[in-house]
Amino acid sequence: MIKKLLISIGVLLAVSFQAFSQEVEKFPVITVNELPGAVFEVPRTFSGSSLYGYIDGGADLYLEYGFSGAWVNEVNWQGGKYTIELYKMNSPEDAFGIYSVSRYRCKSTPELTPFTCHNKYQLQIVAGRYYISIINSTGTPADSAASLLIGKAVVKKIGDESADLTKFISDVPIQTVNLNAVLVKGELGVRNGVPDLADLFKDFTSYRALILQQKEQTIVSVIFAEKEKAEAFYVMHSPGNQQSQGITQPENANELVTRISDNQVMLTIKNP
Amino acid sequence: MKVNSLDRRKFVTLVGAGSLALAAKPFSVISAPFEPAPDKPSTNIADAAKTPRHEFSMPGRYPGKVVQVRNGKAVANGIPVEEEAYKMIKKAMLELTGQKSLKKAWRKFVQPGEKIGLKVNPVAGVLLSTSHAVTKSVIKQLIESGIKKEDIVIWDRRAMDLKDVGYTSENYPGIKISGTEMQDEQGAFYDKEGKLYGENNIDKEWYYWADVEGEYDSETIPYMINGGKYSYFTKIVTRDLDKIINIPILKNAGNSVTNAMKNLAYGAITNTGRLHAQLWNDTCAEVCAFSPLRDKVVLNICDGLRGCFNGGPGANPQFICDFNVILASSDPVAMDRIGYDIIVEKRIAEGIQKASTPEILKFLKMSSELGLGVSDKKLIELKVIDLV
Repeated sequence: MIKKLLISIGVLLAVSFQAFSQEVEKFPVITVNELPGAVFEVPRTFSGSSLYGYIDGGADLYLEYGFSGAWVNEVNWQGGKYTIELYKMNSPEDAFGIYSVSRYRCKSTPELTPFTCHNKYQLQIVAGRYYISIINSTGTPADSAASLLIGKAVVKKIGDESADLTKFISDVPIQTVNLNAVLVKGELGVRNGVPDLADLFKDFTSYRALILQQKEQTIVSVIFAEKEKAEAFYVMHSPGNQQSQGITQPENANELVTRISDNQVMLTIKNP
Repeated sequence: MKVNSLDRRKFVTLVGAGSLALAAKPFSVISAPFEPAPDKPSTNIADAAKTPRHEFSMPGRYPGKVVQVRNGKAVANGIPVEEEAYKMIKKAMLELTGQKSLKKAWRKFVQPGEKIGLKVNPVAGVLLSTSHAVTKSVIKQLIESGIKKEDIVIWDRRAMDLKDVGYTSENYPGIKISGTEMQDEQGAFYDKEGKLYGENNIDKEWYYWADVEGEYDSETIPYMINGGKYSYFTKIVTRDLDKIINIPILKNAGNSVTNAMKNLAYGAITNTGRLHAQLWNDTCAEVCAFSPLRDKVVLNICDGLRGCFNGGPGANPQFICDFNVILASSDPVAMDRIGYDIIVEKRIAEGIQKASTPEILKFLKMSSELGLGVSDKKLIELKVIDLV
């Protein structure tokens, strides 16, 4: 009897907890109000490590960037089927980070937000803290256009807050950042976004780095959580030079290292 | 290898405590995997060697031998073609075994009356799953070799993933479809007694212990089955099956590869969330060293018709491509090494990385040291066949 009672309490607590979790995590979900005639399937939500339940090992990358929750649904609309994924990250910067290692050779960059990438099969958007992915299975122009309408509807619900990346690199057109910059916060991001630079970050943790790969050079702007690490990174790239401010031409003529502030170092690497 | 009752009580308590703690504060960020910290957590890998090997134990009948069959017609309009897949697998099997008869080739690995599991990989969804073209071709050839339909089981970790990508009894009449983690028809993970359905499917006699605590919230636990320091093997591999044919797909994971070893290791045990951060390499290698996998996985057929060269193991459409290859080997380590080359070649061609860095494949080196296969490219006998 007591056992049954305890089990019942346990189940009740679990259900309450789940309800509580769903209460806490709000998503800018779209409905038939935004997409008239659409048929939505039952949405799935994931928070924290439960993302493993959706994308298994792929969750690691999101967790590294700072993942808060995800809302996933499939919708049948205008004769097409679309998978809508809303990943709520801990900050707009984190959302840009996951976007930056996921987008690839954008066919177009619709002006939904500053950070949008559109391909045949996928529309990817950064809006506020959200990384949004809308996937269609056919890649037809009709499905691609419908994805764009779905994306617009979602963005409208979020607002126009956007990641401010000028603290990393200023004076770079935002479209250049949209198309070419990669933001990493750890080893997985590096391995996914800039694998050739893996050695650069090998012995470092607790950093955020924006990497802009251009034709002639690669700019790496790193902000460390601790100034000691920034110092170590700076010293590592300026052999023989211990000064903590200013510009140095190191022995390696392909690199130019600059100490931007106590916590920030910028490295310019000439491409071979 | 039994877990005593104190440990069992302890991990239940920890799961509960973990849920409450996680409810009260934001989730912490998990640090990067692949590179284990210098003070790497210990595991019970020493237990694996206590079970004697037999003739089929990894790396199986043909250590270090990999057959790669290429076919430009293998995929049409993004859909793998079953007829072409069948031809490729047939060619691979004959080449691997040196047999002239397909039946004899298959009989090198499986016999009538044995329960045979096909370990597919549906985890990334319909875009990037082991294709039906390959799975159906394998089944067809097994049946032609005298294996009864009712002795074949398609399995993976999650029953719901299998269903989502079309591994259903409607598509595979007469074949058993089996997953460890499961929901009922209403989508509930728990039965009326408040017990996870998946808990009935795990074998607590067999476990991978690692000194890393799995702490999960209530939403996560149905996908993990249990928290704590034990990862239990599914009964599918410990009890239900006699032989396993591993049918992974070709995917990248960062600049590494997830193919045969990862498909087996992370697909056969519970409580895997804790094993990504510090022990990814170790888990891929060490879990496969335990008897339920080491001694039952007799053949690996990599579905490389479609795969991904970046963004894996998740499915990002822009990174999915037609590799148009089938790999076959009894040696999963050697097969992963060859799979890596195929992916890296594509990554370099796409400008994602500049050079091959096979030295990052630590799990293959570890696997080799555990006697599970050949990781040194120079020692691998690779046969490449082009089907026109």
